[in-house]
Amino acid sequence: MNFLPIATNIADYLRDSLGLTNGIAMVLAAIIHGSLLVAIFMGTPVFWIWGERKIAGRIQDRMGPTRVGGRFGWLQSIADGIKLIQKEDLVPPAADSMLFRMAPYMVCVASFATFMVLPFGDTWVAVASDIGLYVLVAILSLEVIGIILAGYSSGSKWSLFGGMREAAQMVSYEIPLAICAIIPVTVAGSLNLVEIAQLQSGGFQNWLIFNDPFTLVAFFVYFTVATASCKRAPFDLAEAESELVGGFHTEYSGMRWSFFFMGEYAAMFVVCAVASILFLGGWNSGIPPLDATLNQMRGLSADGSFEPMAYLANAIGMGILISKAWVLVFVQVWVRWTLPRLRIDQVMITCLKYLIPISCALFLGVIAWPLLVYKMTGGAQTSFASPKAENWVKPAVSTPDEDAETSQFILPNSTPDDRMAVADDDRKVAGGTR
Amino acid sequence: MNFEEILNLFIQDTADTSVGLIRPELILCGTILSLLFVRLFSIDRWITPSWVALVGAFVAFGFAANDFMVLKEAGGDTVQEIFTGLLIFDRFTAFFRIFLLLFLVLVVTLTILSGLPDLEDGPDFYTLLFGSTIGMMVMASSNHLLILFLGVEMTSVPSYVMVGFLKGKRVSSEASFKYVVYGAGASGVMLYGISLLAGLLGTGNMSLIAERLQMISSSGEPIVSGTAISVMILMVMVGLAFKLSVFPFHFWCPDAFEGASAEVAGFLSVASKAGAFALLVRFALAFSAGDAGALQPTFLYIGLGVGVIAAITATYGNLAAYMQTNVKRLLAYSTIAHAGYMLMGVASVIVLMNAPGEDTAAATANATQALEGLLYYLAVYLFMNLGAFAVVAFIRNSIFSEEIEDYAGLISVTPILCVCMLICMFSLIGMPPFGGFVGKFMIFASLFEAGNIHWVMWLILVAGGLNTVFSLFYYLKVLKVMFLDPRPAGAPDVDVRWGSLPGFYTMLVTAPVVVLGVLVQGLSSTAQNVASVLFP
Amino acid sequence: MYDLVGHFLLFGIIIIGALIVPLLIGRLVRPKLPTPQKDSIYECGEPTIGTSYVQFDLRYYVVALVFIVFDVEVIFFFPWAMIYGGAMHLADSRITEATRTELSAKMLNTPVAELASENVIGAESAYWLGLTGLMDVLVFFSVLLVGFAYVWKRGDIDWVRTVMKERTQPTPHQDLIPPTKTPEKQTVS
Repeated sequence: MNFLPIATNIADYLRDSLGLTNGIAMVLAAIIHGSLLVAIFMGTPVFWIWGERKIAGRIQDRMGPTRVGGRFGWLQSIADGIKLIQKEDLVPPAADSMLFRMAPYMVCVASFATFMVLPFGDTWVAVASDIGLYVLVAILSLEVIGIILAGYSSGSKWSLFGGMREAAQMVSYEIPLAICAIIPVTVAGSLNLVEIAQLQSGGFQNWLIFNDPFTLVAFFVYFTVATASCKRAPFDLAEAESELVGGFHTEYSGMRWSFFFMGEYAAMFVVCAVASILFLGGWNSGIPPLDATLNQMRGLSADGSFEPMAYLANAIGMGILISKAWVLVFVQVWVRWTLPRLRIDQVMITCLKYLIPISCALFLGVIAWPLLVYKMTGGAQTSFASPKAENWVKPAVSTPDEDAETSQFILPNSTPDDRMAVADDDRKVAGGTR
Repeated sequence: MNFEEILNLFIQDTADTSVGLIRPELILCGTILSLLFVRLFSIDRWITPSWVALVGAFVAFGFAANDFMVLKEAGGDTVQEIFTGLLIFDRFTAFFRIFLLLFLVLVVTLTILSGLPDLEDGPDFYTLLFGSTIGMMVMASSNHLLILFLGVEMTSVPSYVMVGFLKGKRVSSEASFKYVVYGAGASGVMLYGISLLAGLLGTGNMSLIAERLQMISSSGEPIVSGTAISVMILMVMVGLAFKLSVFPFHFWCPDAFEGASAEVAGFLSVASKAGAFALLVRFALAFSAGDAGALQPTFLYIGLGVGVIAAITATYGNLAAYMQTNVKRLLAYSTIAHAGYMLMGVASVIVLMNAPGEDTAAATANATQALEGLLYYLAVYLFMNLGAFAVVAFIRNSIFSEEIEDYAGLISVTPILCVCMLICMFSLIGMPPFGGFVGKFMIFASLFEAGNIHWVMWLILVAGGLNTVFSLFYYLKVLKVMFLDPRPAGAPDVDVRWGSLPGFYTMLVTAPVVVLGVLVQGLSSTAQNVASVLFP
Repeated sequence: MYDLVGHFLLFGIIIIGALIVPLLIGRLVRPKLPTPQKDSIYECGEPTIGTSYVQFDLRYYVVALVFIVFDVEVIFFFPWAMIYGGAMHLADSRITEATRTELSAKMLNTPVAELASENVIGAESAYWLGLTGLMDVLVFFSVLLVGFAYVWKRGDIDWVRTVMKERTQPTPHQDLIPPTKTPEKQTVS
């Protein structure tokens, strides 16, 4: 059952406690699950638009928003939203109406659909796909089509310039982004984001950023490139309000205009969450005792049943992941209000002449590293740390009667029937994701 | 067999056997890299890229010749599948490697003499040329449907660029663009055919195709009809027909040749045809190898269909050549016509292989002879066509024109080029003392033999004969202008004399045309030796 | 596959729904008073001249070509990196038997239960698998990198190029181009 694991859990709970029929419970669960994700998707921009204005204010020695919602202006984004809903919906007659209306949807679909493979916990993922990272990178790169559409269909030269710049910038930064995303995959040996995160449990020394010198550098390269691929300053050439008025969204106004921001902030969150999963241990706290406790709590629902403690552990894990991602988002905001915008030729040269060669060198380094370690240790090990792959085979769940059986895995001499039986048990223990 | 054994076998197969047998290709790859490095580290100030290319081509040719000699010495029918059956290495492969590399050496020399790529574009041009040649060599040694496609694409993509290589010329860009569009369409159809075939047979390996087809057709209730199979085969052949510029897919040829420089046109007209013919023969024989069983009539009719198309192609090419005023366009139509003649040879191979009856030994012997004729024709065609294009290139360098009317009275200024043109064109017609005659005769003989199996082949033979007569007129038209018309006053001089390098080169390329017309035995026995390996 | 496509559609529908709702609400409350000034294209107050669908510089296409070449390469790296990483886990002789079995099963794409004991990949052969993979990727990647270096050297990836040098040089192959009978019409771009 890897179809909507959270929803399945919710469905089981609803069915058991409220006595609903299976179908209704499933539908209710799907709606709850969907709205949870939409809440994250919508909530992130709402929070961060306020956050960005506040941070920008402090950096520039201003107060930022102060009026709406108390001293800190908490509700500024909500107020903005209400204002934008009332704004006139302008579509210039010179624009290609259909494409013009389609573009914001395209951007939002691209950044929102990435949430389907983005895990927030061991089982808290819509699709625990074996090609998760690949799908994520692919979907995320669809966003640029929305931007180009917006620029092209507006019928304005500013928009077109913005769109074309964005296209050139995005397709260039896509290359180092993908190469830097492959670097942790080369270490982990899996494209499944859940497995990559699981690999890093048991202390921060297991985080892939600390695996070898190359991954350490790769994280920073990835982060730079990710910033650029979200067209954040100092790489925001597509908007460049001082040169291109508003860039690709010059002709947009009101609600449609705000959709682009929703997409942008969601994409920021996604690339930062991916950075946390690939390099910074995902939902693992990095403190060995805490990780062990959380893993044990998660293990309670390894057979797929609903356990409040396991739920709590996953919720804590999700909190850890989101805070890591938010720290990175904060850095992006900080960078935006600190560094001046680059020129278009500087942006392109940074990518083509610096980031691509650097990421290629890192890629070659990271694949040579384990073989070097193998040679240096005389064929004993491929990493200086303890083997991370052990994290994939879950420790036995300590329930009294199963204790003895689960510790034996597959014995080479056992009959096929035995092996099958043991394997079935093990698969239950290992949890629903694999 | 467990994982470790498979891994070891795989490493052994790759490192110990396979890599050694593709040395010529690897050397070409190395040459491409060194061409790029020459440019990269600014060594091209001291070494001209064209010389690097020439040395690379020479070395590769040496290795290929060595491989061929070793195989020939060893005797027997050594057939080695390399890279886990993706490629095949036998005398046929080795022969085509020599053929293509010899041609590459000659073309590189021609470009050095005519100065086609300047210093700035040298590495680009030779990279494309060598890349294309590697593709053709892969085509000649392919043993898998995937490699078939890969080879065709590796050949095509650089050719598209080479056709458009005269960057300042609009006709050139237009030609390149037409070539790309037609090429993409043909590749698409071919890939579709390949996917259907591979899906039906469960394998892409050509040495298993006949067996699988046999299994399908003999299993009580046939899964697919013979018609469906022939449609799939024809779809694959569309891609090859495009490379061969066979009748319905020939549109690109005159435009591409007119737009491209004469050197590139010469390269395309010979090398890519040779590669495509090698592939076509391998592909056709993959189906008819062994006892075709219930599908035999289908293959026989495919053979006849190929023959009819060949006749139409030859006729079309020859008739359309009349109207031409541009020499390269005329030679393009002549190329189409010659593709038709050679396709007749392939048709008779297919028909002879699928002769009804039990006498497989006789069928094999006849088919071997037909293939021998095809190989001989290809070998002669290399020299006569390259000779013609070389003459066009050298004349263009002096008079800046490729129109027939501007060739008037060239005999008075450059007798050497004119005489060479005469020999090449007489050979292209198929006049007796020259090599073209022998090749054509061999193909017509095999057509006659195939006529014993089905009367349609006799009709094709008649068409072929008539075509030879047709072709006489347009070749003679060019020669008449060159030899008999007076040189207009003030026409530019052509500075190619007996002793100059271009003159020497042209003579060198033309000499084999004469030699192969007289001394038939050497090449013909080699061709027979090569052909026999395909019919175990 | 079904899972992925199904979820993609589901997520797409959800987000489109979430975006349409505020627009529909806005329809009830927002004004609609178009004027010619409001509808015109914004060009800082100047009246617009000509269409906005203009031609673009060639360098955008060069960037696109570089992207295509690299992206195709990177697509091939993804599955390769997966296998390589698995091989490197297996090459570590410190992992437990259970882990080794599980990783071997994953790599050979069989369920753990069906994996015969002699097919469990040992550290030594995993190392050889890794080494072979490294050689493959080195050849594959170095060809691309040499090409990239060549493009770099030729100056094709320079965003700002000194065009004056090119303009003062004669057009290549000028001597090889036969003069055309009718002078071609020059279109001004």
